[in-house]
Amino acid sequence: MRIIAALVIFFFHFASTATAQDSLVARGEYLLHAGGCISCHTADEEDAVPLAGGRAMETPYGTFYSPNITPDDETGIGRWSDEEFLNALWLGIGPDGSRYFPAFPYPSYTGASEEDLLAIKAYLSSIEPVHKPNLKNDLRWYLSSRFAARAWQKMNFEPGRFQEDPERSAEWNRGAYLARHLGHCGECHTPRSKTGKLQQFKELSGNPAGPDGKKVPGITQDREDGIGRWSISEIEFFLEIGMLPDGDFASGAMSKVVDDNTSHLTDSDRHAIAIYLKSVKNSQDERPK
Amino acid sequence: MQRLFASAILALLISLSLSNPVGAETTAENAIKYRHAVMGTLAGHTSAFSMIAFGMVDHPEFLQSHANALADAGAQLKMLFPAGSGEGETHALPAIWEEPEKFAAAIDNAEKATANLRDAAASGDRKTIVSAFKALGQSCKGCHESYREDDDHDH
Repeated sequence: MRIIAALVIFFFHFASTATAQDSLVARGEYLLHAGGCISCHTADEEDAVPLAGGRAMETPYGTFYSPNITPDDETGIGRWSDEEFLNALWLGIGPDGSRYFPAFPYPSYTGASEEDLLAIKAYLSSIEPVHKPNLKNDLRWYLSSRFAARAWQKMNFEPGRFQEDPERSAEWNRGAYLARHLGHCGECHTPRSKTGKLQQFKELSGNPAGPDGKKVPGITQDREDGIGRWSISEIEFFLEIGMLPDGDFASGAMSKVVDDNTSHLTDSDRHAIAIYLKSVKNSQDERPK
Repeated sequence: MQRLFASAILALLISLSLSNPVGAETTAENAIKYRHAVMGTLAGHTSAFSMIAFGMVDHPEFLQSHANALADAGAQLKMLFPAGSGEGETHALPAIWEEPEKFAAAIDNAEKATANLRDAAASGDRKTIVSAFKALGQSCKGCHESYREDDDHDH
């Protein structure tokens, strides 16, 4: 009888841990979409395996190739500890101590919570490992030294978690967290300085030289050079299916973002992002002295 | 009698000019302008359709007419990209003419999506309408992703 009771207890214990793990993985999968990981970590070929890396990203600094983030021990992140994973996303430091260039948007991810990032890691550990060696970045000569990224960080990067603004609503804070950090909207929509630092005083005001040399439109509340004329529900609708209020559909990079990221979000998260975007003024003239 | 003759000639001329509105061959420039006009039509009806379908305005009686217009314009899509119309003021990417079979399949998909939306609107069933609209959006976006340069959002 006791044995049966023990077995029952053991079974329930095991089942509940399994469920907790399942729900962590499910949460991680959701956050992986919210983090927009898939579009960059998947090669462009049609039959490319998601998250196995190899996508070329042309920038003024050279061509970056996204790495494999499947749990393969040799070529992916299978051997990474939680701490190494957090160091990469919060600090831009690889397991071997090398520094990442900001083609990997850790200056945005640095604001993400530990809980969320470790859920993403749990999901990544649960998927099929893919053995696919990473391609070497092809950068301008002055960036080829391993110290270049370290120097870049010294000049341009401040790590730090997202701090809620108690003056604002919970929705706004959720939207700010998703847009600024996990969703890293500013990585494309905010202009950069000559050294590639995001110019936060011009947050989301558009980038004349975005990824792949493309012009990225502004998405502040400016009525001409932004989305000031869009209603909250039009923003939500765009994030869900990619349609602009005039009936046109997003193309290129943003189309991918809708496919891989924003269309997977819950209605309430899309609403939160819309609330946040409605608060972003075109602050080009408010450069701090 | 003379007047009757004159008006007969006039009628003949008008009917001739209507049956063959563009006498000469279409220039690339005009092919591009026409493409933009038709794409603009699609966008306008898509926007108007979505505003009715998603309850932003209360004009359910016009839903079907927008859907019909979309299906009509959708049937034209395959003729909008004649050879040579990739040069000039256009964001159409060379891939359209470099991989004609893949492009034709994508266009065919878009045409079917507009026809499907017309049928969905006729069914009057909200769920069918919403899913048909999303499917149309997917096909618009799919083509734009691969075949339109994403500098701003001109056509």
